[in-house]
Amino acid sequence: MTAHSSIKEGTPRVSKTKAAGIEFSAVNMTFADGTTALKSLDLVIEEGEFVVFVGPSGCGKSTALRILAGLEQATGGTIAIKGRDVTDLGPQHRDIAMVFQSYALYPHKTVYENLAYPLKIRGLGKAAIETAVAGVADLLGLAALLQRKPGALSGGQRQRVAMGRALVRNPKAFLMDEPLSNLDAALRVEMRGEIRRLHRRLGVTTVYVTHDQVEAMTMGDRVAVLRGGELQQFDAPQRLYEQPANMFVASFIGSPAINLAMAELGAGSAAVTLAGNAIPLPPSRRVEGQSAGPVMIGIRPEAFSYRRDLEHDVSLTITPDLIESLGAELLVHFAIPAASVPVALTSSAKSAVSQISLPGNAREVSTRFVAKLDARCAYAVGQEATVWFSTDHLMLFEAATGRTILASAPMLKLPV
Amino acid sequence: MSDSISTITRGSHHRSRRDGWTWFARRYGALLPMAPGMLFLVLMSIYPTVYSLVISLFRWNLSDPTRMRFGGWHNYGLLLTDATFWNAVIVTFKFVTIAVSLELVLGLAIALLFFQRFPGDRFLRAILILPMVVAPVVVGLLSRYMLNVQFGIVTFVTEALGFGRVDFFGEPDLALGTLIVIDIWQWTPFMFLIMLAALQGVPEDIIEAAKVDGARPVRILFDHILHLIRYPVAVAVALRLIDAFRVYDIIFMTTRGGPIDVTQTLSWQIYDAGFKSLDIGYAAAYSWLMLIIVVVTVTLVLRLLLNEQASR
Repeated sequence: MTAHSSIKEGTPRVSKTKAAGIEFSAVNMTFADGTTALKSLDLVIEEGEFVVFVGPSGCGKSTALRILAGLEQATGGTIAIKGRDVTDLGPQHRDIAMVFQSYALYPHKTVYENLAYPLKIRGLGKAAIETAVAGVADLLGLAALLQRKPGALSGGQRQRVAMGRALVRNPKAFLMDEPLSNLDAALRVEMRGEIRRLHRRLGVTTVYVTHDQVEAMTMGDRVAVLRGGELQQFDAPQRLYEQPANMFVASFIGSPAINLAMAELGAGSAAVTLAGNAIPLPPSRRVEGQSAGPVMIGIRPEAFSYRRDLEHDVSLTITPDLIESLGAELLVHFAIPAASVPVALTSSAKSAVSQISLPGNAREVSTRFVAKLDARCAYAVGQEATVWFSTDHLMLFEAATGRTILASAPMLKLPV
Repeated sequence: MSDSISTITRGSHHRSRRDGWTWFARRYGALLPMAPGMLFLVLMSIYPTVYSLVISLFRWNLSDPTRMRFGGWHNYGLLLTDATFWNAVIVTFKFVTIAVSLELVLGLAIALLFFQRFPGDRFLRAILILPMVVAPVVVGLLSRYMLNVQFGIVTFVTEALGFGRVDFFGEPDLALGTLIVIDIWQWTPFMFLIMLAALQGVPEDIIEAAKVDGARPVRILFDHILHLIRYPVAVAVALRLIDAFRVYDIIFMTTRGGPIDVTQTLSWQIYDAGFKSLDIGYAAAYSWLMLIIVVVTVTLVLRLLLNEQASR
């Protein structure tokens, strides 16, 4: 622990020895009522890493965290923290600290007593406790609140106390269960940065659970995407965005969500046909051994451009039916005449909305797309326009399973 | 206020009957639906209370009801110098403190056990609360037969175990203790039920946070759970205190105050004074002293249970 606190800001968080901080091996969880929360979870979190568990509600992310904390007993598999098997140990013996969604502050104790509690339990002397609490209070700006009870604090202050109670001793790992979800949007963004900076400073292995993909992307060194108790992908945020393992990850990561539609892959994967337009694939983007037939196509809203350039060389003629302004950018909504992808393969909540057919186009096959375009495009609702994209940013998924056939190429750094 | 002012300015010239009636209805109309309840309260509660206070100041024996003389504090003075009164105070306090505190501890212990959930716990819980639904008179009657020194089942058991015949109600050293045990048997389920409900109201995440902070179960109980359930506990204790102070039924069915005076509680003595000696003024004064004792005790106990926390 102390070795990590010496790591200076800006240095890589992951230590060179790559010691396993936390290890899930084939962890299964089936509740008494028969629901399966986790299916054979294998995950190795490196020492000092900040890992985010993300997924829609019911995906098992909180269960995984609670099993790691010892608050829930897994029905199978083992958990190790810093090389020590803790599978059968209670939370008292795991030397971890946790921040709860509700903060779970002790309502009958003052802020000082809340912060001092974990140290008091460990039998520290009064002077040592005072020093440690003062240090944490200083770090989190709680010094003026020490004599108050939690009931007299604002949501943001309570959140800080909960953080402080976790920070006050040097645990082997921090576990955070949606710690920011009860804060308002502005405070959430602020605390997001603060938690990241704290982690950089302390270098303690952190597992952070959230349902918010923006939080996951911005905070995690690596992100574990879960769905229905199964790990979909465990990767750095940028890789989740560019090279999702399957259509679920592709649709879960990114906002607005990726545009998905049914398409047809030509022979030798030389071209893919979307809504009647054959898009030729350059040799570098062809998929070896992929037989021709129906596939699912994915294009991120950010992949579109309003003008043709070196990068954006494939065109699509659209008629915007809704334009939302974000200031610098516009969200241009349009329909394309292609079948929608099956909901079962995407992150359900988002697709359920896009699957609602509007009365006007109920008879024809159509799918809603969104393009995030520079505000200079000056497109107008109802006026035909052309958007451009690159085959580099085109993704293809297997029609039956949603597995990724072709991921987008890593971001190109081309001069525009 | 503003209504009456506006009425006056509006109708200063010809204030009709109708205006006056509206003003009256607005001001006092709400009293009408409250009237039955208030009438009931006055007749059934306030009048008897005041009346008992009044007669406690009179020398009045119902053996000669026409002879009612004002005595001022006479009855109270007599009581405070009466050894049997002080004996009753001591007996009652012994009964109340031992019974209620044991009920509290046992109720909490059983509630903690049932809080863990185990197979068959619902059935067992239903069985456990049965004593509470038996009328205290019946409990007294049952224990009189069960503990009967001649033919009681308990006597059979003590003889079989080689203790011989034990006269639980006749032995001065045992009588009060036996009554306490009977009260505990009947009323621990009440404490248990309230404690269980209170425990179920403790936020689970606070217990989990304490576990993660490293606290063992016993510490969690004393550091957090007891603090978090103190309001329901205080209510339960207050109810049981008031109830235990007026213990009468089981005494009536078993020891009838004896042997000698070891089970003569305050309510027994009041019954004795009022309905055996027919000294109704004295009994009224007795009741008022008992009321003061109960109110002071309950207030002190509640303060102890609730304020200890506020000062920390």
